[in-house]
Amino acid sequence: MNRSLPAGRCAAALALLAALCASPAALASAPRTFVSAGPLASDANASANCAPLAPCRTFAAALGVTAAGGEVVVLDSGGYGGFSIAQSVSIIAPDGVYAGIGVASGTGIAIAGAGISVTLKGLTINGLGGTTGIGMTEGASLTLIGVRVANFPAAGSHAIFVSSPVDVKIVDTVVHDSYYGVYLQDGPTAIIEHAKVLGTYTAPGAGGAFGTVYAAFTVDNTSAATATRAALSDCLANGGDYQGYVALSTAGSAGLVVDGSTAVGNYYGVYAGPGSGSSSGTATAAVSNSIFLRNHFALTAAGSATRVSSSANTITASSGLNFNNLGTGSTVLTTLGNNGADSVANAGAISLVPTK
Amino acid sequence: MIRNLSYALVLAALAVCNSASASANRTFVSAQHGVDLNSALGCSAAAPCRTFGVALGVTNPGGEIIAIDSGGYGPFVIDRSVSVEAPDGVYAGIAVPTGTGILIATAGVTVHLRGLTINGTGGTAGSIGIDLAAGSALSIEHVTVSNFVGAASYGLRAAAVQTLSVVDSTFRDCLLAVVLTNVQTATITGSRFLGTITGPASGGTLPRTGAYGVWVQSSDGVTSPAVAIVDCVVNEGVQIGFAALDGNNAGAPALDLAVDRSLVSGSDAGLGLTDANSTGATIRASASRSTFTHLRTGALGVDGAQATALLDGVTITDSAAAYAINASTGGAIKSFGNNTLSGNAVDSGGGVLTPLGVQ
Repeated sequence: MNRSLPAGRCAAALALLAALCASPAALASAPRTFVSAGPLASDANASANCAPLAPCRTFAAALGVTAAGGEVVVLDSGGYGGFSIAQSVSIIAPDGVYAGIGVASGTGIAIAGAGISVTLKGLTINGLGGTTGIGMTEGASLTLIGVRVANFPAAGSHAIFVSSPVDVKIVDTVVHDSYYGVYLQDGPTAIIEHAKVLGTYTAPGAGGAFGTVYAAFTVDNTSAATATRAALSDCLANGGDYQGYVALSTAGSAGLVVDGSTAVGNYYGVYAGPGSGSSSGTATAAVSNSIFLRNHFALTAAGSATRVSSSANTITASSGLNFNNLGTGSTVLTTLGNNGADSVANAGAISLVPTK
Repeated sequence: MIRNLSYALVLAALAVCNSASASANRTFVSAQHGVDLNSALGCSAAAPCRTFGVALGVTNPGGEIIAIDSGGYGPFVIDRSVSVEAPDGVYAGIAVPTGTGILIATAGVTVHLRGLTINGTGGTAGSIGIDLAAGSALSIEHVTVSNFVGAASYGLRAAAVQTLSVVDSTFRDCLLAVVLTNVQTATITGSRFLGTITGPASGGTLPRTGAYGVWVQSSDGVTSPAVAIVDCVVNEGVQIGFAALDGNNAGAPALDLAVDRSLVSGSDAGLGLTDANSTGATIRASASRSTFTHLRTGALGVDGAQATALLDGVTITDSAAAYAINASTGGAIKSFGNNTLSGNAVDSGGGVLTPLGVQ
C-alpha cells in the first residue's frame, strides 16, 4: 500500500505512538503466565507478561497480566505468598513443583468475582496463624485438584470455605489439622472425591471433646433462598473430629451424600440437623458403602425435618450409639436393612425400608 | 552460571555474617546443588541445604522442608512438628544400610512425610524405615518404604502415638511392613503391602520377604487402639496380611480393627486375631467389602476367648480354610449373612459362625 503522511501528521502519529508505549496503564495480558521462586523471577517482568524465561515472582503480579480464563503456571518450587483472585483462571503447579503459600493472617487464597471459574492444582497452603486457607465468596466454579491445606486449627478457622452458590469440585485433596476441613455454605453444589481430612486425635469424651478437627466435611445452609449439597466418594474423616460428615440447615436445604468413605474415632460420624437452635430448613444425609469405626455416635439425625439414610455400611465399635435419632416432627433415620452394625444400642425411631 | 553466582553470594554472605543461623517457616534441600553451610542463610530455595537433618535445625516448628530435586538425602531425626515433602516428580531417597531411616522420638510433635522413598539397602537385622517412638501425630502420604528384609526389620514402626495416617503409600519387601503398638487411632488407606516369594515351598512354609502387612498390638493396658485399613492390598509375598494382638491384662480397653474394601491374595493368612489373655480386654475386628483369596493356611483366624471377628460382605475363595476359631482358646466369628465363602478346601467347619442380623 502506498501511502504517505504529510510530515506534520507523521510527527503527531509518532508522538501519539510514543505516548501510548510509555503509558504504564497499558498492560498487555497473556493467556498463560509464569511464576518462579528462582533467580530469574521478578514482578517487574509483568511488563513482559511474566513469560517463561522472565517469570514473575508472585501470583498477584502474574494475575494482573493473565487474560481472563488463562493459566498461571508455577515453574519451580518455592514460597509464593497469599493472593486474591477476581477473574477466571487456572493456577497450576505441575507434578514436581512445590508451590507453597504460607498464611500468617487472614485468607491464603481469597477468591471472589461474578461468574468466575477458578482451578487450583497442586498448591500447598500452610496456616501460620491465618484463619482461612482457600476462601471463595463469589463465583461460578471452583476446582481443586491435588491441593493440600494444613494447620488452620484456631476455633472457627477453615481450611477450605466456599460461601456462595459455586459449582465445587474437589479431588485428591488432603486437609490437615484444621478446625473446619471443607465447609460449604449457602449455595454450593459440590462433588468431593478421594479427599482426606486428617487430624490429631483425642478421645471423644462425654462432652464431645475432640482433637484438632471440629468438623471434617460440612454442608451448611442458613438461607431459605439457597440450597447446599455435596456428594462425597472415597473420603476420610479421622482424628477424633467432633463431627465427621455434617449436613446443617437452619433454613433452606442442606444435602450430603457419602459413599465408600471412612469415619474413624469421631464424636459424630455423620450428623444431620439444625446448625443451632431450631430450623425451618431440611438437612439430609444419605450414607452408603462406608465404614464407621469407633465413633461415639455413628449416624445421627436431629431437628424437625431431617432425613438420614444408611445403606450397606459397616458400623463397628461405636462407643455410644450406632443409629441415633434425636429428631422430632418429620425427622427420619432410615436403614435399608443391609448394614452390618455390631450390637450397640440405637436411640430414637429407626425406620426400616428394605432394599429392593 | 546462576548457580555459581549463588555459591559466590553464599560464600560472601558467610564471610560477613556471624555463625547465627536464620530460621524459616519453609526450608529447602537439594541433592544437586545444596550445601549444608547454607543453613546460615536459612536453607532458602535460592541457596538450599544438602540434608534434611541440617534443614530441620533451621525450620520453625510447624514449618515445611521441601526437596527441590532428585537425589539421596540420608537418614535423619525429627525433633519438632514439621512437614517433609518431595513433590511428585522429585525422587528424595533415604538409603538405610543399617539403623533407622527417619526417627521421631519427641513427645507432642506432629509430623507429615510426603513423597519420600526410604530404602533399606543392607538387609541388616534391626533396620527400620520410619520409627515413630514418640509423638502426637504422624501422617505419611505417597511414601515408598522398601527392602527392610533383615531379621526384626520394620518398614514403619509406631508406638504410643495419638494419630497415625498412612495414605496412598507402598511398603515393598519389608519383613514387618507396618507395626502399630499402643497407637490410639490409625487409618491406613489406599496402600499396598507387597513382598516377594524367595524360594519354593518346603516343610509347609513358603519363604517370602514379608512376614506381616499391618500388625496392630496393644500392650500397655491403657491405650484402646482403633485402626482402620481401607482400600489396601496385600500380595503373596507377605505371609500374614493383617493381624491384631491384644496382650493386655484383664480390664484393659478394647482393640478395634476394621478392614474395609481391601484384598489379601496368596499369603498364608489374611486376617488373624490373637487375644493373649483370655479375660477382660477384647479384640474386635470387622472385615467388610473385602476379598481374601488363595491363602495357604486360612483367610481368617481367631484365637482367644475375647477375640471377635465380624464379616460383612466379604469374599473368601480358593484358600485352605475359609476361617478357623481356635478350638482350645475360643473366640467368635459373627456374620451378617451376606458373605461368600466358596471354593476353599474347607468352606466351613473352622468353628461355628454366629449369625448377626443386618440393620
